[in-house]
Amino acid sequence: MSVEKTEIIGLIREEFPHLNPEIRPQGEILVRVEKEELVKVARFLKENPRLAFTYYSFMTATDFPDRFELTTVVDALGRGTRGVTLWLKVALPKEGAEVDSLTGVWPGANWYEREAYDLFGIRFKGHPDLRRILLKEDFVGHPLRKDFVDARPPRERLIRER
Amino acid sequence: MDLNLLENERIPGVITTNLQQILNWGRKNSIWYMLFGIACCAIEGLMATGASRYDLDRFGMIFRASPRQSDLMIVAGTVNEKMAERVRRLYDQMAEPKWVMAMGACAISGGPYQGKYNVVDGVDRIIPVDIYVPGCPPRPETVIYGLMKLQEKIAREGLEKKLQQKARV
Repeated sequence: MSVEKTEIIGLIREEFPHLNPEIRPQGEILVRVEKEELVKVARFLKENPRLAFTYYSFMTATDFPDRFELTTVVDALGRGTRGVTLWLKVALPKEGAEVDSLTGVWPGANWYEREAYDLFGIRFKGHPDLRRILLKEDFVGHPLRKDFVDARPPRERLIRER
Repeated sequence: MDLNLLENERIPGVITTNLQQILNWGRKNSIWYMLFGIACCAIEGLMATGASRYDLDRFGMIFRASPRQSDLMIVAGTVNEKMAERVRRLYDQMAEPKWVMAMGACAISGGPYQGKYNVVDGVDRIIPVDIYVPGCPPRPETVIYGLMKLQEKIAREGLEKKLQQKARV
C-alpha cells in the first residue's frame, strides 16, 4: 500500500477542512458527515483519482434512541489505495428521516437504500425506484425500528399433540 | 423390488404385475426434485445430499431446474411472507403426481423464527406436505432417510389415493 491512511485523511481534510476523519481500531477510515453534504463528500471520494473509492461495499442503518445512523462502507480500488475501507456515517433525525440518495454516485447503492427504506422507513431523495424490497408491498410499518409493533393478530404457537 | 411379480408359467421370461404397482415403482425410483432452495437448508439438503458424497443419483433422483419437470419440491428453509406466494406458484406449476418435503425446522413450523413479522409458520400453511424431515439443518443422511420414507409412501399409494389427496387441498 503506497498511499498511507494518514495521507488519505490529509486529502479529505484538504478538500473538507471541517471534517474530522479517524482511523477505527480495525483499520477502517471513519468519516462522519452532515446529511446535507453526504453526496458531495461521496462524489469526492469516488472521483478523486488519488482516492478512487469506487467499490460500494454495503450500507446499513442503525436505530439509536435519538437518531438513525446510516453507515455506508466503500472500498478503494485505486492505484495505491487498493484495499482501504472507508465508513461514511451520517446521522438522521427520528422524525421524517430523509437523505439524498447515493445512487447517482455509486449505482450499487440502489438495493441497499431500498432495504433501508423497507426496514427503517428512511427515505432517499432522488432514488430511481424506492419500493419495498424484502417485505410484501402491503406490509404496514418498518420492522427494524425499535418502536415497531407487529399489527397482525397474534398467531397461536403450533404444538402438536403427542 | 416389492412388486409382487409373477413369472408367467407358459412363456418364460415374461412377468406380470398390475398397473398401480408398476406405476408406483416407476414413480418412486425417478423422483426428480426441483432445484429450489430458500435458505441454509438448501446447502445440506440439495447441494450436499445431491453431490457425489451422498449422491442422490443412485436413487434415480436428479434435480430439474423447472417446476414443470419436477415431481418433488424440497422446501429447504424459512418461508417468508413474500416468498410464500412464489412457493405456492411453483407448487401450482408442478405437474401431478407431485410431492412436497418440508425440510428443517423452519419449513416445518417456522423454527426459531416462528411468529416473527415476516415468517410463515410452516410451509404446510400454504401447500400440502407429504413428509417432514426435522433438524436445523438435517444432515444429508436424515434427508436421504426421509426420501426413502417418501419412496415407501409412494409405493403404498393407490391411483385413487392420490386423487383424494388432491381433493383435500
